[in-house]
Amino acid sequence: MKMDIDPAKESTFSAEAERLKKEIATFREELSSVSDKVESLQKKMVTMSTMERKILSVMDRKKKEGEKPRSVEIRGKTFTWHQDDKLGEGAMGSVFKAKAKDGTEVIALKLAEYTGSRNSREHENLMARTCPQC
Amino acid sequence: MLHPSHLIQLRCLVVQSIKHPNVVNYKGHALIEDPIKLLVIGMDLVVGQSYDKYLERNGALPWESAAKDFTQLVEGMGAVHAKGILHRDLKPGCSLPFQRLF
Repeated sequence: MKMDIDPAKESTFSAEAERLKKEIATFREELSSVSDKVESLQKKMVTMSTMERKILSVMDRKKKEGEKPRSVEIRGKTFTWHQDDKLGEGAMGSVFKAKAKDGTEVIALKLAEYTGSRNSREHENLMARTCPQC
Repeated sequence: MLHPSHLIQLRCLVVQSIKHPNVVNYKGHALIEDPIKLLVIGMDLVVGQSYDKYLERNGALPWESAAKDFTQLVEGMGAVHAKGILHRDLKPGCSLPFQRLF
């Protein structure tokens, strides 16, 4: 069998090969730029997670600060209580054990919301009793 | 219409006047904002579990002791009703077997 070499076809093939080579080169370039981007994104992720950890630790500290003993003055005496000293929880609110700052007394403190918000049955009762129009 | 905090002050004046061995003694109250508005009511600290827990643990009481306890409960409520206040939520969980610390 005789191989015909058509010069016109040959040149088209080589042109095609050239074009493919160029395309591969551009793909390589694109790939390297993408992998650069991925690397920088990964670095960013690491920074973000460090930041996240920092923010979480700050929030945690704030939360702990919120749990420090609270105090209230009743009849000229200051009583302090801690969130951990909860004695019980009722429909009206929670009851805590509280100590007088001067150490003379230990009492129970009931905390109840008194604005028109939910869970304020104590408030509802008050309104029902004292102000029937409300 | 009175401000809610004034209503509370009024009611506390009434509650304050209830003195009965079967009613937990009221010590005083305060209004605080941290960050929500809270009414703080000071009471005598009563040591012991609430009556529902007590019943859960010990089961039904013999009628004699049940009657004894119930008499105390009713006597306490009598003192409350005498001041024109209704409890409206009386239940074992709101009662304590009588043991005063101070």
